[in-house]
Amino acid sequence: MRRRVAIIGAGMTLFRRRMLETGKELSFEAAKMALDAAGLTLKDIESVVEGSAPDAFDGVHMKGEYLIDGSGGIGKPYQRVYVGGGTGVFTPVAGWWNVASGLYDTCLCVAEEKMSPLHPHPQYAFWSIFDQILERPLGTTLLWIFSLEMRRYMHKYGIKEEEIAEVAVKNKGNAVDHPCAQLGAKITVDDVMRSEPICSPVKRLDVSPPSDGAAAVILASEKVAKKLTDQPVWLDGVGWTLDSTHWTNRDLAYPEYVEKAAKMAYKMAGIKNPRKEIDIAEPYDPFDYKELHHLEGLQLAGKGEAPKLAIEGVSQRDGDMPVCPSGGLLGVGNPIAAAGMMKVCECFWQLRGEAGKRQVKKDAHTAVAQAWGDLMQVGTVTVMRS
Amino acid sequence: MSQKITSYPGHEITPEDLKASKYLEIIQKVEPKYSWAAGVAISRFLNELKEGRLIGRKCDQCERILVPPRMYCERCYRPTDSWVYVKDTGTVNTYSISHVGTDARRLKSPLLVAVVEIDEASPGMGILHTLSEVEPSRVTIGMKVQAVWKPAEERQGAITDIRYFKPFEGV
Amino acid sequence: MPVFEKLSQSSQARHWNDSIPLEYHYTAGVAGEEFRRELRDNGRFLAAKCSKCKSTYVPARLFCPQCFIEMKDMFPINNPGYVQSFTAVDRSRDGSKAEHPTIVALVRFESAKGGIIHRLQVDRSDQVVLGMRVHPLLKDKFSRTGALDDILAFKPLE
Repeated sequence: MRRRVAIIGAGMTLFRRRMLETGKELSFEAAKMALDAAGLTLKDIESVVEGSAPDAFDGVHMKGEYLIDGSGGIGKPYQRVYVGGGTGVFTPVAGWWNVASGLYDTCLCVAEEKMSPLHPHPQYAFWSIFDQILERPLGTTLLWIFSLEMRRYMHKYGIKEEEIAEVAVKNKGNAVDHPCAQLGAKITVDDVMRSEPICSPVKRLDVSPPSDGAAAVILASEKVAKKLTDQPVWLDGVGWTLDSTHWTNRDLAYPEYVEKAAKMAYKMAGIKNPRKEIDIAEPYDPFDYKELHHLEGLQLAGKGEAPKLAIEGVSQRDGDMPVCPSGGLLGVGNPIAAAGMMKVCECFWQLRGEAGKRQVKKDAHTAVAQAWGDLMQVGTVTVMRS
Repeated sequence: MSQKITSYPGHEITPEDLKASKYLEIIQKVEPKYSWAAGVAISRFLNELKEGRLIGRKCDQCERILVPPRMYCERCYRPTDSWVYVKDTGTVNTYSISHVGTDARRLKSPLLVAVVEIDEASPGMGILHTLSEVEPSRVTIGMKVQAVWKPAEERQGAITDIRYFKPFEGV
Repeated sequence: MPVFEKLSQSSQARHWNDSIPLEYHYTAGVAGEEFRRELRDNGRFLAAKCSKCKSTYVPARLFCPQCFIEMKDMFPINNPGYVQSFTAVDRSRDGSKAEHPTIVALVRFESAKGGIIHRLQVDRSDQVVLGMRVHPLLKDKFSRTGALDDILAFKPLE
């Protein structure tokens, strides 16, 4: 019999291109902020889950072990989880196992990424995720698969680059109100269209930046959560699935693995009509078209119909279903694992009415956060309720 | 007892800080070297590339012809059954014009990359490769292309034995 | 029956050789930066003390990993260190025999957790005794950067 799990505290550091803090220090700062918010100390925490994406960014070969001090995991049941870019949302999913299973009443979940050490650019680490025999010799970059996917998505549904650019405009604009944001800005579709082509159709302003940062949440069982707070945010649904690494054999226009993960989480949360029941969505947006792609996978828009949401105002912060009110990866920044966790933190703050200038207009009770990663193959989803 | 957030932790290092050498930077270079086993399926695939041919594996249960070949079908979760030669022509599934290289530095001249669905393999069976002998503005999704092979004596059993794909000229 | 059809000749098996060349530019972090400034400017090791459990850590850290609170009390260590343990390394990193063994020690400081791994300036390992007092042999102030190689080696106290 699984137990109900609540989020009772959240914390995050600034997201910047380069931070002075080491990975351990970033983890500590985010975790400490989450503990303080929950009114707890590390002694009250029974287990710890840490999430961090490729070790190659830091050049630390046992990154989970390396980060243990800062994650508060010494001497506790400690787990590092990893599913590429999907890691940030997968971290509280793994924390959910710890608490829902009845093993522990409290679990600290920390996600950290320090991308700045790698030179000349963190992009380089992604070269080694491609097949070493059939793909790397061609001189691959991660941007290739994004641009190939974006082109396929545009082609299949007749979507224009200008329509996709609306997402970058919305998210970077939302990020202006996020105190941690790296790239908040009021820009126009024209700015996006005129920005430097990187890997056509992907242009400079379609892309989120590399960043350093950390974010954390505290999970608690229902019994403990109710003692500690009158505003728990319930983690009522979790879902995750992975597809094969044979990405060139896949339908690149639709993320089926996100659909499967979303349906798993919705079923658990008892959500039958996601578009009607979900008030806020924080889908993974490392590129602007990815937000659209993922909204469709999350069943929040029909196939090829997601671009309308931003254009018609539905997904704006004052709209009927705000999407990435945080500012997303495009605006707040993209320290891989921490970026996914930032979305979970945002849902927590939004559902408690603590998002300050970012608070959505509508009365919100249900939110979904989603991340994506590896070789276009991972979907991780959490459904939260106030 | 919800607490309002007053500040967020962290100290930024700006590009100006770095230029002014405000902080100590320790530079380390590593270059681990590997010799990866190609395995049963890809060894054969590479040996066939050396001969100027593409080969796939067929799964008798789902009847798919898999390219690149694998000795197991990941959908049916059973061993695949036979080797099948496929054509060295195909269709552009999607493409991109890359202005940056592996390390994110800008390339002198852009590179056309594509997922090419291989003829005679099952629908959707694409491989990653590059396109050439075509203006970027002339590339379209659905365009027929053919492999341009290195001369036999230069082929070494590598994906780069195909230099690139170019627009199909046959009938 | 084998699951897979196997390669029947080993000459058919292929390998692909490549490397993953990576370059990292590390900065030292909040506490690490303080530590390296103290080493560069004053030739001393910076420690941090936890206000709760009273543990002292060398090198200085931003936070106490046990109490999980920030450590604001940072101060340089003035006492010499002592050899907690040591070893004679007679292989180089690639596994070949080194010309001269390097004596490497974990140097700790009185009442402090942590310590520093470095070379000992001795000729032979039988000159080393556990607990022997050592102090750092530093580069001259103007060539120091704050990196650990500002210390040439630890030297037994006369």
